[in-house]
Amino acid sequence: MADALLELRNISKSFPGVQALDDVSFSVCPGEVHALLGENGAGKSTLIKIMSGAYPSDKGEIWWKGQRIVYNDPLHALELGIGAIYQEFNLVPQLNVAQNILLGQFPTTRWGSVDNAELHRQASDALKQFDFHLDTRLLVSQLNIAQQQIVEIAKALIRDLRILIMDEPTAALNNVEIAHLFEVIRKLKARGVAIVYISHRLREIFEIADTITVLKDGKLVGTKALSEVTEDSLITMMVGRTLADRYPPKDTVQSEIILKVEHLSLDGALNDVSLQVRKGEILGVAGLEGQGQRDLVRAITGAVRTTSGAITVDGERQAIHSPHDAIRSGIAYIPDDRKNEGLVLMRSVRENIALPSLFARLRSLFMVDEPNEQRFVRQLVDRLGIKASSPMQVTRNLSGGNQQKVVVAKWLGTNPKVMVVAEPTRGIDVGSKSEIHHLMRELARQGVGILMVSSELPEILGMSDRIVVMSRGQIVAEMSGAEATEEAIMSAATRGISSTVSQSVFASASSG
Amino acid sequence: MATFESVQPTSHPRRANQLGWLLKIGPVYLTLVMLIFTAAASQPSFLKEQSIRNVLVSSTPLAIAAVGQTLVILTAGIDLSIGPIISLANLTCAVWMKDHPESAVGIALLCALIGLLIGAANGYAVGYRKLNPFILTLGMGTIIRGVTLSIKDAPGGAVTRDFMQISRAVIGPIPAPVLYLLVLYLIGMYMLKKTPYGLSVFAVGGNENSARLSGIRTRRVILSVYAISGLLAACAGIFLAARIGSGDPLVGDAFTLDAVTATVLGGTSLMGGIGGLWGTLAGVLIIGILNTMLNLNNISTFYQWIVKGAILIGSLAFDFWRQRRHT
Amino acid sequence: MDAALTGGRNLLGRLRHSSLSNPAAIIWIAVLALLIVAGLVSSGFVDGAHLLNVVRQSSGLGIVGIGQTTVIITGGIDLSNGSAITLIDVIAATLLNGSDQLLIPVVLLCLALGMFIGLLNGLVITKLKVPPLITTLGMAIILRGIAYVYTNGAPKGNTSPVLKFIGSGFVGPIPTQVIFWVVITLLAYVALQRTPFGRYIYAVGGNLEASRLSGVQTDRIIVLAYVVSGLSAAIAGLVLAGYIGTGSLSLGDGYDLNSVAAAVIGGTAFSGGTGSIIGTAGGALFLSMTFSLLRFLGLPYSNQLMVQGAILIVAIYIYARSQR
Repeated sequence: MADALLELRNISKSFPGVQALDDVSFSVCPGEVHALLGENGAGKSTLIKIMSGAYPSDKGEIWWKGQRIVYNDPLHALELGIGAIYQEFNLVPQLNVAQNILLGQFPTTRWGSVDNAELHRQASDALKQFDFHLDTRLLVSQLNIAQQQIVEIAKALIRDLRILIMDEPTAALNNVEIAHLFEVIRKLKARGVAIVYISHRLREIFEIADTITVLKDGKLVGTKALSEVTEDSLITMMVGRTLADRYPPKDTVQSEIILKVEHLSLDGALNDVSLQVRKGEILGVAGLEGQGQRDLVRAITGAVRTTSGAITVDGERQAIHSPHDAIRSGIAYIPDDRKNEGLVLMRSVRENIALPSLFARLRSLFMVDEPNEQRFVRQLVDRLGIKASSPMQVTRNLSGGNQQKVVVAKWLGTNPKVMVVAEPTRGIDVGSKSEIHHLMRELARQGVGILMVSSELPEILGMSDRIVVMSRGQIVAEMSGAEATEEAIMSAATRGISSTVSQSVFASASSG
Repeated sequence: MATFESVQPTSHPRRANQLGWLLKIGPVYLTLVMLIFTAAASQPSFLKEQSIRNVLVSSTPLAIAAVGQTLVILTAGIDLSIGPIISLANLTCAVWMKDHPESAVGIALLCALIGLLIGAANGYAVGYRKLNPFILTLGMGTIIRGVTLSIKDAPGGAVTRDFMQISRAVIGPIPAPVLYLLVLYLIGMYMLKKTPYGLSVFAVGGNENSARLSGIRTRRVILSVYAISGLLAACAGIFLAARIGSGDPLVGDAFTLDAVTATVLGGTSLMGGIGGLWGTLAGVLIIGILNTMLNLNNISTFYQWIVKGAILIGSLAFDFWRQRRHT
Repeated sequence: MDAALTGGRNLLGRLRHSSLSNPAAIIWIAVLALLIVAGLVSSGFVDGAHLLNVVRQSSGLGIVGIGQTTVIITGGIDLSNGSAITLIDVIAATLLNGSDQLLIPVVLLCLALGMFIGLLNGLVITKLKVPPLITTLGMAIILRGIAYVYTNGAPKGNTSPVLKFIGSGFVGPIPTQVIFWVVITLLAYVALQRTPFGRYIYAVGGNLEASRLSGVQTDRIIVLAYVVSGLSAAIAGLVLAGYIGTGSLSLGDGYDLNSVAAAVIGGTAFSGGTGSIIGTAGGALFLSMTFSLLRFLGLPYSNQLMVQGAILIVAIYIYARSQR
């Protein structure tokens, strides 16, 4: 485009083990809302990090207002007028709202002290401009996530940016807040500010975007104007194949119940939840984000203690007060945050895989049975196709997909009866995704009962033998995998939650 | 999901924040008051003007050094070189002044400058080179200790009589050191809570990355807090020289730990981002009164050790318990 | 001699680059280099008997370093081991009073005491959530006070002949202390590298939450780490008590910070999750050799301190560079 504000030309970037971006070109014009779509691992995050100066690119050029530039760091980009709001907030919890919004630009009085009255006035104005109401004297640590995001947004907006990058901004907002956000975006457009918008909620994209760029596996699939695409054509661009041939066939359910959860309650998060999983069954847990799925998972696997409820594994009642208890009962937990909860990144593949099985299985007297361990690890590595230079390689250096495989391998090694999986394929490249799905089905074939929480509707529909839908800490619907449809799940999930924008709030036929 | 409109903090957020702050330093001041009562009860002479003056004046060096330590800890760091710097400044001041009594003021200023430079070196290593503050200041402190001992390995030197007036002077009923402290703490509190620099210190301690991305010159802030710490430590050492009249290469030994204790007692978190000088002041006074009380009651110095250690642990355990109650 | 020195340094540089990934190797190479330099500077230093003496003097630090390393790997620190050494020494000296009669009970008591101190440290850290720095610092002060109160400021007593043999005797040409150190080091090495306990220590230090979710009983492991540290301090205390023969209120001085230094220059990172006993052993050796060399050359205590501090700073600088 002749009047492009920012142009990225032929950008390539790789990390150890993965080519994140491969010859991608991208440009933004003033007043344009440019949406960036793609599956997890498609390269969206990397692209915007290069745009905002957080990473340098390996190859390619960046042009700003018609001139070639090179960023040094995010501050440099900020000075040019390019700012980003990420999903992990950049706030100082110990300071208040006003101080955070104006961090680094505090107004001062004649004597050099901070002009508090002016500070709060400017902060309130920034919030009011976009119709947000928040007491600027509150400490950020006192706010909930939605409010923190508002502070984050106000903080970016007050800097008079030319380009604002937003990475999944609506993830934690409700309908009213989303509507407000769109108003904000429209006002910014009117001012000539460009917005780069990452989201996997297609309905939102259709409401707000002018241009859409789709990435897949680090490559550019295409850039189109809104008028040129439909939801289906976008999905095809993102996924490249139809839903049907992605998932393994469902044919493994047995009749015995392997996991029974009765009247599980957790203060403020779970309210009398009961469910059952049979041997060989994959039970999908669906619902809008933050409706208690994470708490359910953590309760069953002992990561948190419940206020009441009973858990029975393979007919035996279990007292599960810690992950240690859960493992002993035969429950394995694959968490969604693999970096922080699933792996000890600085240790080797071998140590990670062996960790939960050390005491029970890989020990002779006081020592680790090394030959046994080596065999154990090698078997699992082969079975899962983990690509690492050797079992001694430090897990930090593996790709996302391989890291997830290490997590899965480690739990497989404990010979679980029940596997609780949260977001099994989040942030994983497409190839590994399919492998993991097939692996899950194979495990089910061997009699393991699987409880799967996923925010990706296609995954729920494609993998589950049965589906339960959670809302506000309770199970509100149950349906068989064969009969379930998008609409049925969606309507159950949004029941009781304001319906106006519910369509766009839930991730529809796109993947996360 | 709650909207921003439906948030119900305590009815007045400002009051809530002030309440939170009071809750942080409340216990320290409460302890201080209780301690004063206990001291007065067990030794009526404690409340006499003379002994109050003694406590205040003898707490002055710690109070000075603790300001620097508080600043450093607020940035999530720690300064273990404070004690050695105090000793260095103290000894060199006395030794040089003995040979050059005519340049007393100049020598004092020079010693202060040395402290500043050492602190700046610490701050450079931590802020710009990202070295671990614990090990770095430990190593630096050891080096300084060696330097001090190589200048003179036994007490010696002598300051001029005029110089000693620094610690002896009185203005009306108030000893000059108390005024120094008043000025120092007032300036310090103002700087911390009311200036952009002070807010930057909290920001760096609270979330260094965010602070940096917002344009705050985090490396400079870190360098500055260590530099200030070094400077104040040197000042404490110089004050000690004025008070005792001579220098001692090991005089500063206990100060490092005491400064950390006072800071932590006063509600400043070792993780950074929370705290302030009000609390530190109370912490310093508690330590000072404790020392005096134990001495007055002829309780051996040895028990002092036990008491101090228990207080240190106890105050943090209490902090944790209090946090648990509020979650 | 100059050419040999520069040649040696070049070789060292190249070796350093290739083994930057293995910190334990670095420190042992440094020890070797120091030995060479020492030999060149003063041939009397590397004389057999003298060298053995130097090694003997690093034993106490080496033993304490084992516990400190374990604790630092879990992401903590133990500053109470110096005071523990002092306390153990005065207790042993007083109770034994020069005879072997009560040797076994006293030794057992001291070992138990060390473990108990570690247990207290560990519990305060895991249950009361007081940071390790403050906890062990506070404990150090308390222990110091107890030692003073127990001896009323005037340590007396005498350690027993057996203990003296352990501390200052020889088995053949090798000092008994060194044998102790080597044996305990090997045991610790095996424990950390080859047992589940060791794996858990590294895991907890590397990522506490992930370890917990993987079924590791993290609180227990952390407490155990401090118990090990207390135990190693007690052993060192007994050995050193045998060496000096009496009670002393300053015996343990410096062991706390020096054990941290030995661990750090031996490649154990303060942030936890990584480190090795062999590295710390090298670190203890390096530090002791340096002090010895300086003393040998007639340099006063003050210079020793300067060198000690400088070594520490250089070490973390090098390791910081190699991380990037």
